[in-house]
Amino acid sequence: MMEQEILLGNGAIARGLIENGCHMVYSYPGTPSSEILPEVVRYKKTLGLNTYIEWSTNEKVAFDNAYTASITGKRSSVIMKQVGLNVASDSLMSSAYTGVKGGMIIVSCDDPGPHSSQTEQDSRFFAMFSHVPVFDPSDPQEAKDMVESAFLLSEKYEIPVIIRSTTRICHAMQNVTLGTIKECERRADFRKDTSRWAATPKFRYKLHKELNKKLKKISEEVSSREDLNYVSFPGDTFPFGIISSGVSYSILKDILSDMEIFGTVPVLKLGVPYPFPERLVEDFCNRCKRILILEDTDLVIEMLIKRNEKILGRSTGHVPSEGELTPEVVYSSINSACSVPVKDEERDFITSVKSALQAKDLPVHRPTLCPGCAHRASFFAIKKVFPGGIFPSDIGCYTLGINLGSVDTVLDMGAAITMASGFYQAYHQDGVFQPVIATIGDSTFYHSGTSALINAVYNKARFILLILDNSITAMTGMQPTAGTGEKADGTMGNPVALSELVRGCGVNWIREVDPYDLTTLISTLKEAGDYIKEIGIAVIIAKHNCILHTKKKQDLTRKKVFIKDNCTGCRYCVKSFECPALVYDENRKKVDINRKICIDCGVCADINVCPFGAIGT
Amino acid sequence: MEQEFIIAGLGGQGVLFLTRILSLIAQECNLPFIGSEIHGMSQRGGSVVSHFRIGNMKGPLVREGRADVIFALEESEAYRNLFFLRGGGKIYVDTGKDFPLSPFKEILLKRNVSAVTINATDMATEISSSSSANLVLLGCYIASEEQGLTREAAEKSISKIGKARVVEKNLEAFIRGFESSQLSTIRSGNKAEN
Repeated sequence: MMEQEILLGNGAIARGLIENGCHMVYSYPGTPSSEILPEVVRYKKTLGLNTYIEWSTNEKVAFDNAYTASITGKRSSVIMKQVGLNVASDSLMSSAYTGVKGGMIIVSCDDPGPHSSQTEQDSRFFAMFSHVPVFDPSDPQEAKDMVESAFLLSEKYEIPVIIRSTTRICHAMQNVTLGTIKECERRADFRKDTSRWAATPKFRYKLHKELNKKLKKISEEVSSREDLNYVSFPGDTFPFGIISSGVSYSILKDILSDMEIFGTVPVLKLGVPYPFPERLVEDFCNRCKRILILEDTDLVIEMLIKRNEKILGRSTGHVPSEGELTPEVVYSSINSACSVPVKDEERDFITSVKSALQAKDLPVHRPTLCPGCAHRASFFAIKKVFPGGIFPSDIGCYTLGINLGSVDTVLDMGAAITMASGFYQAYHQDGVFQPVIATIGDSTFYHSGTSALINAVYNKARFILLILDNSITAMTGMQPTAGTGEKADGTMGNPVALSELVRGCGVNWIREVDPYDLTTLISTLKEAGDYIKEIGIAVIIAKHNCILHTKKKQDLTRKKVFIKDNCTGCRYCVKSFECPALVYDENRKKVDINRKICIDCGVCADINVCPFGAIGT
Repeated sequence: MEQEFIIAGLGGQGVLFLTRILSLIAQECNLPFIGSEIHGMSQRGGSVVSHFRIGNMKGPLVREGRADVIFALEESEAYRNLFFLRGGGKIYVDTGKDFPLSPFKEILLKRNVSAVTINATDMATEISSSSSANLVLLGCYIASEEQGLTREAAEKSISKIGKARVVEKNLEAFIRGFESSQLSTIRSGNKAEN
């Protein structure tokens, strides 16, 4: 029997890279893609491979590095979540023209739902936009297997290739059949060719023409590749057929099997939706009267089919245009396209449970900052000192500062700073001084904070920036940052100090505070408030290690807190400090401490959290 | 064997750990499986649901009304996911309270669903920490399991994750659940009345 290993889709993709001799791997963490690089690290360590693995400072940086590895002839990969591809899109567009040498795979993980993202964008559009092929796997095993085809295609046509995964593949868990590992064999050999690697516009026209030729050939090739596509067509013609790709196909297959019609309804599953396998689709469409399209997340296949009078899908309202294609959605889409029998008993049960749930007032479990998280202290202090402030924030755990009323905007990576300067200038034009207090995490600052800060300094904006430095990329699962200098494989690189970086951006007022010392943080914020009235940008580095990360490494300084008898039950602490360990006891009409989750950080014992001093240590 | 599971709880309660253990058990029993986890923001204390399917399925998600078993590590998350249960299914809930209350009790009775309640967190806390409550529920389930998943496979799987001291405590929690399956309260559904 072939060797198997239980892997997440992300692990399967990592395995695919290693099996195909890809030993230059770059990434910036982001759910649902974050586990791919650590899985490559795991294989490197357990198998003793010579693999270069890098958490880059952002996706564009990661992309360019991987691209460079590829033009030296090595196989390379760059891995990111879908919005990371926005950041790397400048590089993507240009690299399609120049092409690559060693195979290059861009793994972009979409998040239909969305579960952990600001958009539901479909990376396959980026494939179309940039004119590079995109593979659309339907489960972890196929995601691994496609890595081989993707590398071969990339090298045959000297073109970067996207593997588009989605949350339900990245985080699907399966017993994956493994292949053999291929060690790093190629040596860097960059062959100079300025008409390609440094192409001026005149040469770009030529490269564009070559790119279009490549795409035509690839379309022909993928049309005839039985290993990439699946066609099931009983008989010559049929009144109804389904075209699908990605995880939607897996869900579809189960539902058709459940209805005992898998194999009797024509199904075409596309492995490479772009460049569009026109011949294959054309043939399928000619033999069906109506065709339902099921694909995550947007209408790519649907748009590329020329025979659209036959098509049922998002454009006709048969498939919803937002959200995940869950089994329920797939089922109702099939049902709306061609009436199928529904089990009444099952439907009645689901409906009655759901309506009873609506009537029942269940406690809502919203995500919240962990008990003992230092960000909580920072957000509490900001709100306390600047009740009338505007609070732009950013992407990370600290987005949850919305629960404390200290986060007003979240746009994209780095926007805490760009929006802070934006707010300042908009009010300043009217002669109004509006306090703006921005928050950004350390990893996000390294990702895209510096250009924003340089711009703000240069253009004389005035605001307070708190860099919430927990010395880790926490939300995505504890990836190291440039601040500590720890690299992806645990070895040490060179740490890049935040304070020096901020000073280098032209900021003259910089303070470092541990937010656990709430009293000092509050006085520092007041001082910063004075500075921004007249002079410029004030940066506070609020430094305290992530408690989830620290817990594993060292003991925290314990400060057991208790609620004194003079608690008035006003719930000020519960509402404004919002620690899950502070709970209001309805019976006693007093606040209580949930000892199961309290980590004894002792921050809530600060006089500012209880106006009556009823929380003691 | 085909069996579909929903594992529901709050971020940090060990939903993903239990899913991982189930996958190891299935592997140990040579059964094909696919599951789905959710990572990211919801892990910060929010509702977390994972899906796990044993059998020759291709999709990672359990359909509504089709779960054979639900493990609920928290009571309100138990209610929130009830609609996943199939007729004759079973839900294991970590609670000391009456479950399910009206009108869910009647709805589930009609569907012949059994609810097993067990004070798993308290039991796990006695042994080591509340975080192994998930294994108490698992033990309870394996004890009543008549199909392919065995106690041996479960214990072997639990032994594969973590350091020796953690494994010992985890096994203890599992065995406590296994042995107390007779003590747990089974409400609603015809099975309970037999």
